Amino acid sequence: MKPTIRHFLLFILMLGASGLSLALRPTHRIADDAAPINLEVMIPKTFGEWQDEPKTDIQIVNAQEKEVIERIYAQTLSRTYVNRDGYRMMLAIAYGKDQDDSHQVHKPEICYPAQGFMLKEKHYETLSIRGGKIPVTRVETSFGERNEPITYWITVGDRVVGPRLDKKLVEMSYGLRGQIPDGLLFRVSSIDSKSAHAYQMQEQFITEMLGGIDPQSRKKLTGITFREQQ
Amino acid sequence: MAFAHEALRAPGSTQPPAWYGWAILALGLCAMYGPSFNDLFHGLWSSEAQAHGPIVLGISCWLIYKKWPTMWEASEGRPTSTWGWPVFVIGLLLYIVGRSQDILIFEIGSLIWLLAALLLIQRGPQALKAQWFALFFMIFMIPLPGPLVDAVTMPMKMAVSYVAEQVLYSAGYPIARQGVILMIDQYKLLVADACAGLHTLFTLEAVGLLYLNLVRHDSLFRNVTLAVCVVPISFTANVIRVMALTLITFYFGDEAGQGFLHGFAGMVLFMTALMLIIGVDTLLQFGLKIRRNRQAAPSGA
Repeated sequence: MKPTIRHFLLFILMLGASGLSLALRPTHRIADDAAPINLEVMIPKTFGEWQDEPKTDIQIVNAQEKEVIERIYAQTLSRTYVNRDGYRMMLAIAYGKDQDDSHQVHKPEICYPAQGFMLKEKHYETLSIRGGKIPVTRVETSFGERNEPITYWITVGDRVVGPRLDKKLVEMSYGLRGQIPDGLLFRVSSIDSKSAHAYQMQEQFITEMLGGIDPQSRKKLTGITFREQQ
Repeated sequence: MAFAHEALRAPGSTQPPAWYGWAILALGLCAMYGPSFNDLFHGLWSSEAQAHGPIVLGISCWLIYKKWPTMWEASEGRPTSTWGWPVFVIGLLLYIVGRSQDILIFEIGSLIWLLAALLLIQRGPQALKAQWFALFFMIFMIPLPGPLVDAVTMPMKMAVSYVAEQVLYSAGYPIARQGVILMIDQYKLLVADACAGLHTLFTLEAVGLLYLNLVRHDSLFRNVTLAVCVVPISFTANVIRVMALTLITFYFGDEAGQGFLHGFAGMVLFMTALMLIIGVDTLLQFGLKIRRNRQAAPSGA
């Protein structure tokens, strides 16, 4: 091949790659399809036997410092609920409009230790709620005397990513269709020296909460389309 | 591409100047990687943890430039390789997937494939051989995937805090540790990501390898040993940095500690690491010399 033709061919191929990658870049944000979500309104302040406790002296562990939170998440909600027996449950939801490399959600098993917590145990489980199952991750953390078991899950688009479904793969399955998925981290935790009891209370809390909100919000939070049962 | 021009002006050449072709190829690379690096400079590379990226890029370009005449000589009159074409296609595919799907490890990694391919197509295997280190060095500017960084950073932070605590405790300081929080006197210090991350390790490994390349050892043993030693060296440097920060806070208060953290901590880390690398290297050299003398002595007798 003559050098001139070779150079030209290589150049065209490189330009083509540049153009093609530009064309294949997802531009459509799923988050912009529906009405913007408002976590503050979406999650009721009272449901079942749980009630929002506006003034609390418990410090909820933040994902990161404040500036990082604002850069990563479009919206965050953190509340402490209390039930009739005085059992306190901490709820933290972080919602992001996109989840690219620089805007990844921070998993509790990363952000808790980063604040000085010890990670004691981690396992996966499936929460059966009305209409479907949520694959959750359970992490037991402690800070000195404070024992804090956590139940959490992460969604990408309308799917929950768990141990079996890699987050990046789900994002790519959207990306290849030209879509940018939104995502959220849903986390509940309670300060409780008996972890088994804590997990049981958290499951009850989650079930009651999801039972008390409208189907659309439930789908957003859990990826499960709930069919009303007879 | 002024340097290419110099090297290519063969006396009595009637063909269109050969730098013309290289300029076209460079233009193609700019079309692909201009936007990528623009994104990186405005995003990831502007953060403290990834600040080594631009430096590595600059050093790689300088290495290529420096090797260019040597490469030209070595590959003059040698056959080019058609293997460059499949490598070129792989590079392009990696780029397309990486750039469109936001997978930086593919997007930036593809540059190495493309450069290797262009060298093979244009000048042949000899040219690639001459430039291998510059291309290899570029690996260090590829941003690491977040989950991998997270997975390695935490245990490293734990270990660094643990060792710093143990050393200071045995030196008689009133220090205690809770996970990655060090408590000395009335102060609480949180060992942050930047103190013990995979990034620091990665950067130091790059510094160490660059040192090796510039010093040019002929001993494979020495090269490999040093490259491996960078890992414990990086760890030690991190421990020293955390201890320095802790002691400054202990003696001069919180403000002094924070001042140190933002001003000098990074520099202290790199100076310590570089000094350790040079120290280990000198020791290795010394050890090799002794062994050689010992081997030489009986044969001479």
